[in-house]
Amino acid sequence: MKRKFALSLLLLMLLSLALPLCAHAASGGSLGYVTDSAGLLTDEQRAELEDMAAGISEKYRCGVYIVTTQDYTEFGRGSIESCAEEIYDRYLIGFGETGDGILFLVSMADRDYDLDAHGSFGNYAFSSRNRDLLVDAFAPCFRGNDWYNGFRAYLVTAEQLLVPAVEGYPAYLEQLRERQAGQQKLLSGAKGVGSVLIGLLTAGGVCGGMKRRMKTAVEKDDADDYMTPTSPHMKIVQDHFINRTRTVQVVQQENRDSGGHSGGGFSGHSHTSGKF
Amino acid sequence: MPVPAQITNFKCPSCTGPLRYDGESGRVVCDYCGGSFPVQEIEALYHDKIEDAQQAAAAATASAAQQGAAEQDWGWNAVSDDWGAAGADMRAYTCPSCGAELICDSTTVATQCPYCGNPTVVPSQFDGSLKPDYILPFRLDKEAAVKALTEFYRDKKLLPKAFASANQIEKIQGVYVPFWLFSGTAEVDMSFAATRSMTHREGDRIITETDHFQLRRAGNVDFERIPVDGSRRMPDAHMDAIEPFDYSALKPFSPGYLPGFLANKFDVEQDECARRADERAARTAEQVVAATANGGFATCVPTGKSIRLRRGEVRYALLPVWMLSTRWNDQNFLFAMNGQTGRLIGDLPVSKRRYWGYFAGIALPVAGALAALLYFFL
Repeated sequence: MKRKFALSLLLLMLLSLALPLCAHAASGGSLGYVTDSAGLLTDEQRAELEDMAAGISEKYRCGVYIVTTQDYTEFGRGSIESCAEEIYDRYLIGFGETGDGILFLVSMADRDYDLDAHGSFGNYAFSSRNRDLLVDAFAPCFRGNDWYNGFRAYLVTAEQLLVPAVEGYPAYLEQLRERQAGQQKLLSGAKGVGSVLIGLLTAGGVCGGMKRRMKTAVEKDDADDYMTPTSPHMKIVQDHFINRTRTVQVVQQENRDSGGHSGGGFSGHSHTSGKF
Repeated sequence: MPVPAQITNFKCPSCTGPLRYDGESGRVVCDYCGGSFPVQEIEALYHDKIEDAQQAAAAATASAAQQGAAEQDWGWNAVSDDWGAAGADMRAYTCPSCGAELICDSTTVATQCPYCGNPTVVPSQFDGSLKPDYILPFRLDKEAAVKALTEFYRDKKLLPKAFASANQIEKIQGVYVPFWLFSGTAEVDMSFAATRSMTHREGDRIITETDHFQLRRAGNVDFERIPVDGSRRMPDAHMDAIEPFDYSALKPFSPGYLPGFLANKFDVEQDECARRADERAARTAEQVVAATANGGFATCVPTGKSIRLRRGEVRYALLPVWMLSTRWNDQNFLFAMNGQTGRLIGDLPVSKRRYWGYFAGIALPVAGALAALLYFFL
């Protein structure tokens, strides 16, 4: 029995060590509200923030998370946004069916941050504009390396944003449903009009061809039949290279922003990221 | 005043029945006694009569000139008094067989006496410079033309049903139509701006590299015998549309091929017709030379061109055409068939009922099927 208990404890310890290494972690594990892998907080500060975040998250049914790391590139991801998404999806964090919540990822190597809102309510509560307000809250403290107060300001502001969001969300959903119904109606109309148009064009093309066959007395404008078999006799065939031009088109990634700008989808991930 | 002995009837040497050229056998035949003669034999037989008729016509013209009517030839006088202005382009002849007066168009080379049915040739119309260089004998007969017209109606879905069933051929006539045959060379010099592109991907970037070229193509395109009809009476569209003719069957002109058909001499001068031949040659030459530049390039836009036409020999030929006319709903419909190849063309009436019937028959199922697909699968 003792041996079993010791083994379980060891396993638990190993798991807790692995938690911060988001990309390397097994999917479906659990993640606290505050994970400080970069060691920016004292134990007390971390515990206090954890309690605060848990309280807000439970109260509003929308997860508010903080994760710090030394260097997000260690996880082999292309950008801080994709690293944040990896953490969010691997640990299945967030509340409700759509995983509502916001993850604040801080990477110390190049002083990067990313705010990753997720879920329909998460995206509504932490819209692009509201994420900017969160940045405004923590950024002054972070610039002075005051991590604790920065995180605290983030949590306080998040709660301030969640209060009106909870109240406005039903009306927003109703609006959304109406808009979707309108779009659906429009799409149905477009399908009908498109079908009729294509039907008319097809009939016009076929009947036009049939009508053309009724008129065969047409003046000729070429003399193809009378060209000698040896023609043309080409005398000059010159191809002069003039120059080479090069155009570069950057492929846009969906739901990715950089340099402090933001964007995103309704229930997927939307980001605001930058440097502090 | 009709002028006698200026026209010649082609009669059977055996029975004096009317002769006609038979395209299938390539001989001149008599439908009365069944006689069949080589064209050369008939030509030799009538050679003297044709020359006499040409001399008589020349003498009549000279006589008219002496009488102070140099501007008016013998035929004009004969009909203008009775026919007014319409008689200006008419000629009057006396049929050597039955003595009836034949009123013909001023361009008529060969016709048929409406009274005795004898094929009649007007030798003065192919005398000297008016003599065609070539003639392309008819290969297909009247029955073939009628059959071709029936076939022509067959697969025309928009043709009113009553047109094909009720309509009768009003007139069918084999005509040797005067054509000018233009040969020459088009010297083309063209320049183009062309591009060739390659696209590859580097990470999240799509790189397109475009090579720009300046092309030049110059060369000659030779043309042989572009036909342009020299008869105002024949619609250009009909004459163009029955092309091409197989010139390998061209024969030096002989009046022996004329019996049984109408024939006209040109009334559109060579220079006037040359413009159309030039336009056609220039267009084809440009297309042919431009086609040598298109290969291997993504875009190729002409930036300059110069086309110079050097005209070669011009020949005058009579080419065989069956003209068929029908009447339906107070409208005339004219068809033309290449008397050598059998290609038949002509404009047909369109049944509005059938047109809209087909339109609805196609549009409704297509729209319905598409709508069903979109609703169920999208």
